[in-house]
Amino acid sequence: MGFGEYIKEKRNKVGLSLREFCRLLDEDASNWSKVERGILSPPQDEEKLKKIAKIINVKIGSDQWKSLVDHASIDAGKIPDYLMSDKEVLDALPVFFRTIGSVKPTQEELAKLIETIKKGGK
Amino acid sequence: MTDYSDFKCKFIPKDQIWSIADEFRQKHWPSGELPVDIEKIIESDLKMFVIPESNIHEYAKIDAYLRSDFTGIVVDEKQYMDDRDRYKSRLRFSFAHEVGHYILHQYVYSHLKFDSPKDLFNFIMNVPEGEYNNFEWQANEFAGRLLVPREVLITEIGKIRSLLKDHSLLEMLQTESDRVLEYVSPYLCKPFGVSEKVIEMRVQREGLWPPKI
Repeated sequence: MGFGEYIKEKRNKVGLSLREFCRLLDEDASNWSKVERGILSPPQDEEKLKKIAKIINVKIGSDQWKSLVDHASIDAGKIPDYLMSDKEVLDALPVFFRTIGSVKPTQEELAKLIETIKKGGK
Repeated sequence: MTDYSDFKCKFIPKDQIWSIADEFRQKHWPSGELPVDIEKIIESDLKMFVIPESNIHEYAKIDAYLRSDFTGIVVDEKQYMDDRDRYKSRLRFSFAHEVGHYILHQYVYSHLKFDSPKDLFNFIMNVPEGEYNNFEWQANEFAGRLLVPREVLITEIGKIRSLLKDHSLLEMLQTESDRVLEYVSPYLCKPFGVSEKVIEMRVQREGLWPPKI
C-alpha cells in the first residue's frame, strides 16, 4: 500500500471527507487528491507529516506514526514525471457530463476539458 | 470514424430505476440516516477517488463527471472547496448522478471501445441529443430517488400541514399547488440535503403533489 492509499484509508476511518481533510491541512484539494492517487510525491517535511498525523488521530512516536513516515519516505521520488499517453487521457475523460441543464458540452468546451486534463496530469 | 448517429440509450422504466436506487441505498447506506453521505459511499464502499480538478466549470461548464476507467469522480475544485459550502447540495446531487451513470450505464463504457480522445470526442459530438438526454435523465432519476427516499418524503410532506394551515395556504393548494410547492420546498429539502429544485422535482415525479390534506 502506497502513502496515498494509506492516508485515504485512515482519513475514511476517522470520517473525514477529502474537503474536510484538506481544509484542516490547509492543502490544495486538487494536489492532495493526486497525492492520494500516487501521482504526486508525498510530503517529506516533518511538520507537515505531524499535522497529517494529528488530523488522522495518529500519535507522534507511535508505531502508526513510524508507519506513516515510512510510507512517505518509501514513495518519495518514486513518481515519474511524464506526459500522459492517449490511453491515460482517455481513462481520465468522461463519457457523460453533469452540466447545467444536462446538455452536451460544445466542441470548444470539450477541447478545453481535454487540455485541462492533460495539464493537470492523471 | 465510427458513426454514432444511430446510437440508442437503453430504455429503463422509471420504476426499475427507482428500485435500483432503493436497493443501492439499502446496501450502501443501511443506517438510512439523512442526508445520505454519498461522498463517503463513493470513497469507502465503491473504492473510488474524489478528484477535485481546477477550472472544469469555468472552461467547460462541467460540475462533475465519472472517469471512463471508473477510478474516480471528478468535481470542480472551486465548487468543492467553496468556503461557504454554497455548492454542497448541488455537489451531493452531482455525486449521486455520477454514481447513477456508474450503476446504470456501465454497458455503454464497455460497449464503446475508444482508441483515442478523438474517438470519444466524436462519440459525444455525434450521439443524438435526445439519446444523450435520456442517459442524463436516467442518472438524474437514480440520484433523486437515492437521496430522497420515498417513505421519508411522504413523512416530511405530512409534517408541513401546520405550516400550510398557519399561512392560510390550504385553499391555495387546490388552485395553485405549484406556487405552494415553491413556498414549502425550502423546508422540505432540508433533511435530504438537496436543492429546492430537486425536492420539487421529487414530489412531482413521485406523484405526491398536491398532497391530500
